[in-house]
Amino acid sequence: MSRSIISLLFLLLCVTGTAQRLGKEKDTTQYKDRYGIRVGLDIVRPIYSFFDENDKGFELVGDYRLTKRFYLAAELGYRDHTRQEDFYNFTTKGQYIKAGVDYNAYKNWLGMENMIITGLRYGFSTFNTTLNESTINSDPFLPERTETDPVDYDNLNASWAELVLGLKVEVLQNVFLGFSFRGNVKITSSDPENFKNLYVPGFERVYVNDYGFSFNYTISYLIPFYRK
Amino acid sequence: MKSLLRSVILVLTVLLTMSCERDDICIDDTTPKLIIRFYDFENPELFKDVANLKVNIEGADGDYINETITTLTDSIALPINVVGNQTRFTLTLQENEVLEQEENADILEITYTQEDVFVSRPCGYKAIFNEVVPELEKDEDNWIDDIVPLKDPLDINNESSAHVKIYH
Repeated sequence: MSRSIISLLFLLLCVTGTAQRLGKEKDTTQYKDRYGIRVGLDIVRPIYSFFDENDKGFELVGDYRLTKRFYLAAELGYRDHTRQEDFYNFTTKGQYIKAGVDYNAYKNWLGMENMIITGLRYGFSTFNTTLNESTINSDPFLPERTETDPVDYDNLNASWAELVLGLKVEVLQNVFLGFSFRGNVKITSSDPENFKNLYVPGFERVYVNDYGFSFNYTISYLIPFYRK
Repeated sequence: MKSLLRSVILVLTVLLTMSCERDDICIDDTTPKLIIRFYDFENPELFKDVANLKVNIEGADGDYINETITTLTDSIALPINVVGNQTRFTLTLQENEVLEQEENADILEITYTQEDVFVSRPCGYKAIFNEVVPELEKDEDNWIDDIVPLKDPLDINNESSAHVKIYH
């Protein structure tokens, strides 16, 4: 058994040896992937901000290629969001950062650099929430009481883990269009007294059991550093 | 490449036209009602039913203007006004020939302080009532003999047990 393995290894050595010798001439025609930094922004947020008073924000995205399939990735953003619930409405303003890795699950044809992304992020946000107005949830036949004095809850923060599924497609030289869907799970949250963090910038609406979902649609530009 | 781009555009369109539905409704306890149990004045250990009771709440509209409880009951739950710090209930025993009962209105007034407590996303805030003082307005002919709070000081923050005893 061991003798056959050893002879097989020797055989392989011979093959790789010849391959290398042959490869020297072929090197110039071989395609090399571009490595570099890719920066971009969310293209839907500014449109929302323009048309919807209650939902303003922007997001910058970036990634840096580490290996053939792995990328360091981050998002940076700001949100100013007002939500109307049945008995009250509130405004949350704040900024967030998400950092993590993307893995390209797509096997490209030679010369293409499209991506099917699966990724992980750690997200962190600091924000302020204002309870604008609330109506006490009481018997509907009796007069109702509405508190109109805004209540401020400042210096709140939350952190979460995020699973990313997405696409990035090179539509023009160095220009990529992308979209991603994100599922979030909250890790920590500094809830104010007598209220709750119901919306977190970057995390968006906090569902029951501290789950959340978000999307982004991006346009980004690749600045190539080197080829490998 | 082209087919990939086409599928990206398709997915983008689907996601853009999709919007979320609200997924939760209020199922938690909100502002508690005042729960009254009726006891026998001569035999204070025993419940005593009231028949043909009519309840008016000052400031109410709709059903509570002339709410009539026609069946026999030994306990009722009444909503408390969240505007201001008092609620006046007029508890009227209506005429009933079988029970040889004459129409008789008694006024129960409760005073309290309020506190707003956050419940949940769909329910919002509820009021709870602290330092509740129930008081019976005396007239020449009260059908209610005595009103006793079950706790002293009385806080009404849930509906799990009675808050006030009425002896009659």
